[in-house]
Amino acid sequence: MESKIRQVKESFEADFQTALETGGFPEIRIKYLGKRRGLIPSLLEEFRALPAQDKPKVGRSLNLLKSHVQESLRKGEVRIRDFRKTGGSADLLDETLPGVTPELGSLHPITQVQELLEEIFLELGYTIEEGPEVETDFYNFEALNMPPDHPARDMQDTFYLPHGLVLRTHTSPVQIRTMLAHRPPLKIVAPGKAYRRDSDISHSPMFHQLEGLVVDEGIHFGDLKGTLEYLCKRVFHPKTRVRLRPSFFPFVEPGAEYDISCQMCEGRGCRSCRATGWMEMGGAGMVHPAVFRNVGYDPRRYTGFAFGLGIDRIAMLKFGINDIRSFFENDLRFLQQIPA
Amino acid sequence: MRFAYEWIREYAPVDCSPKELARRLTAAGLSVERIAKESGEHLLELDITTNRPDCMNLYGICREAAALSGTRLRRVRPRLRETGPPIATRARVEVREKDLCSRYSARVMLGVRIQPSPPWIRKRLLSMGIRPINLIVDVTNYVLLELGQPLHAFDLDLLEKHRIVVRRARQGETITTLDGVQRNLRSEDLVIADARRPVAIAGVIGGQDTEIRESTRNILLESAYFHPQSVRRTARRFGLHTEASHRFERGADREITRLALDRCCELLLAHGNGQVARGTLDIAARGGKTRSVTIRADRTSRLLGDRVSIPNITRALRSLGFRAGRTGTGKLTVAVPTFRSDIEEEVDLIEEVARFRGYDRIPSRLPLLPGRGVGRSVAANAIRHTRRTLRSLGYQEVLNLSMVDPDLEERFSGDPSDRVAITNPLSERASVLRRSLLPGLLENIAFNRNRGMENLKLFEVGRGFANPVGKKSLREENLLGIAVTGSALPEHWSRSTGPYSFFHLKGTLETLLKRLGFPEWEFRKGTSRTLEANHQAVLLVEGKIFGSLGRLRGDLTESVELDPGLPIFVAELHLDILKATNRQAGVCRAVPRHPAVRRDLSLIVDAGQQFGEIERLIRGIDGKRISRVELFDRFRPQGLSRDKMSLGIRVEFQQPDRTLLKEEVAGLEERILGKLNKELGITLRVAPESGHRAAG
Repeated sequence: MESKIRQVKESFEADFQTALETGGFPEIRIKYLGKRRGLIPSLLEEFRALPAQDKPKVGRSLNLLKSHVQESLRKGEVRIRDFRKTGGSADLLDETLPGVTPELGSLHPITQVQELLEEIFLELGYTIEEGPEVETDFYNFEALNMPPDHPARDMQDTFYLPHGLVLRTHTSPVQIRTMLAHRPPLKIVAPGKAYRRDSDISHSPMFHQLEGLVVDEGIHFGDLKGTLEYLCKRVFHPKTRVRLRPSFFPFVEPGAEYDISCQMCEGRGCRSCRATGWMEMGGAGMVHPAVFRNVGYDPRRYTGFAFGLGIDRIAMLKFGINDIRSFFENDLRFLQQIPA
Repeated sequence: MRFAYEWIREYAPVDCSPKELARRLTAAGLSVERIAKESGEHLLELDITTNRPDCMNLYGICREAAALSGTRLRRVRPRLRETGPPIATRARVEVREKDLCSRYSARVMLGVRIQPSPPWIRKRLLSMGIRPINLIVDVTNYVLLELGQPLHAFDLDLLEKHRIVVRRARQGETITTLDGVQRNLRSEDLVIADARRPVAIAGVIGGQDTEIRESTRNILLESAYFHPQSVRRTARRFGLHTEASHRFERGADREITRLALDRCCELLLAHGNGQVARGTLDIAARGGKTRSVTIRADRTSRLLGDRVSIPNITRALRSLGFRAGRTGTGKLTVAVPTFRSDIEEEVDLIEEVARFRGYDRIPSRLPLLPGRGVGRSVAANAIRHTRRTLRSLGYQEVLNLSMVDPDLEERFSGDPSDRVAITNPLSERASVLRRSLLPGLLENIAFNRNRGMENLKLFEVGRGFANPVGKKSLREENLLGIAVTGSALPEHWSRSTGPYSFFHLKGTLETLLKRLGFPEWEFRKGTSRTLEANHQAVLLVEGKIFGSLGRLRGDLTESVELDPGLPIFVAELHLDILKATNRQAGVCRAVPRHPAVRRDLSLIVDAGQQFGEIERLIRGIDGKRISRVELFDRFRPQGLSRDKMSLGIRVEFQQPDRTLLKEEVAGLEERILGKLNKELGITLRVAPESGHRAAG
């Protein structure tokens, strides 16, 4: 009898462990405690037939077994219920089940780069300015030393609007608006949208620029170089080199374009930089005296520099994106790869 | 433009490699984009900026290459034997508009034969993308590429009375140009005419009537200087952009007209068996003296941030073809060469000096002057907070183009009379400026759903544009658009995720309002035509409409080919209100030290009763001591009639300086219940729990 009790107990322990994983407690309950065929009731049946002198000892074992089974089953069933509700209790955790991920949105990559640039210039003491995206001919061209019929207007394929207005072709009009509103010293950046009538892998009819302008007495070309070098090192790698080449924009003189050492090959020459070792970043230069005259600054007293850069272009370089238009397609599978 | 290194070396015998020459030119502002190898030659592909028409030809590049390499430039010296009769016996030239044509030079050649050009000329033209035609046309093109002077050849015998008259077109005159198009001329157009009719549009394109043909034997060669703006206006009106107009618009060289003619005749004689008539017809307007500009050493040094002396300046400018004139103390006056139309004032010379010496040798400095000390404006900061708040609530930022499809736009924003249409759009589908961000967001939802993404929470910050009727200026405002579809939470095995609802959107906006520091706001029934009539609200702050929110109308959903039954919730806010409202973001108040008392009220109300009214009434009892009113339950219990509802409302009482007494709370509670019953007929469902409970 004692050995039978031990066998039932052992078999129960095994079944119990299995049930902890499978949740098969109703079946075990019937197998061990079922009124008609249950293993424990049938042991009790046998117990009744025992000689009286054996009963006290066996009875104790039997009672212990019965209460052990009942208690275990109760606990096990509770565990299973908890498990179903919460995904596991302490000793039942399946740590491989998927976690509850909090939902996290992200900013558009262009916004991320724009904010990065803003931070850099805020650290340097610049003020962030904004201006309208719909501009008059005066702010977008004329005040920037591009009178009507100036061939430089060809460089900027313009979207025209009614009443002689245009969608601004660059963020440079903000220079004019700021200079008309404030006296030097000025130290501003103006990020924002600009528009040109162009669409291909590296041009979008809408794109993002950041314009910089610093005006005071004694500002020189070396200041411009130093600023661009600092900027490019901060945006890209600290070892990034910057090159300025003479170029032409009617509102600066001397004018320049600036390049950074290729971020792919570190300047050795590769396909990304067409073997030149350099990547174009934007235009820059010393503010043209004609621009100062247009806003009523004395060009004999004040000098200044201005620069522009393509926010989308920096985003393309930083994130390794080939087609500028993919920024405005808004495919979430694309946008969510750049979370911040 | 592409120029062969080998060709450059004919005039500028530089001793460096093609790659090194490319580097030098690039460093001086003549950007070499690429070096291509073609039939044994190295073609330098240059990107010439619009201010340097003098470098849009081989000789100009050679001039720069020689200056940058310290090499002597070989001059162009055509050798010509004039064996024909005096030119005056064969042709006459008259210039009536000297303002628009300050120089007109012409030569005549007799007895030419029309034949193909020699292979070397054809090869050079082809390498620069010009199709060879016949010797005469090819040589004029060749000289254009070599010296930058546009030339035109007329069939002399087809010029009425062998005359050239440079004049304005007469009203009603027409010309059929070389491209076969008949064009109506206007009086502002400058034309080259013969005794009877226009035979060319000056500086733009020749006419068909007098073009060189198989039968041509005698030719008149034109080499002139036309006014840049006049050429530009006419060319643009006709939608023409030719090799000639490109150069005249940017400014040609008045002093090169005769040299170019001689070079052209020299080449034709060498290959064409003709005779050159003796002399050149050359009509020049008075004036046009060379310009003098003075440059100062100290100004140069201060603008560049590098010490530059007069000898440095002299050397640089001389090398680049400027004639040094008077020198004063620290000053130098130079004569600007006629081919440098871009040099007008001192800074232009400073740039010349800087680019000759190289921008890379100017030392760098990071300027540390103070700015205005404003940083980011209040409004810009608020917009930044808006973006960040929505991001942290799980929304994804998108950016759409400002130009949109007119049909879709009109469905959202209605009557297009205040809409801004682009005069020259890239495509019809992007031809108007958006007044709302919602059309773009709806398209984003359609795009992403079609790619298997069903739960979308999108937002955009951008501008909306309108042209108020009767006004000549446009209105531009900052907008926030939100569009959501799918489930409220990401799916997970441990829970069921309900669908996103109006109240999720409202809650999002409330969180945003709180973050932006608005002390209060109000939601009212909305009347937006883009939203489902009974499923929308309008948001007000300080009595002004901040925006609207609700469920997008099904037919709008259908317009982007989505199931009209798909619930899409949208909101649009006018962010410029942030500039003009009183907000208190980031103001800290002391946390009350004394515990609040919380009571839960179970109320029976009319089914149509608005919660907002109940809340207002409760708060109105004692705005100071009633610190919170919250709805925690809303249902219809079994057995309650259909026109009633049960609301569970939690009210929190608090006094900053002490703990409220039991009796005080009971008194307030009584007044609340009394007022609710009197004003709105609200009754208590069950007796409230008795006793105080400290708030958690």
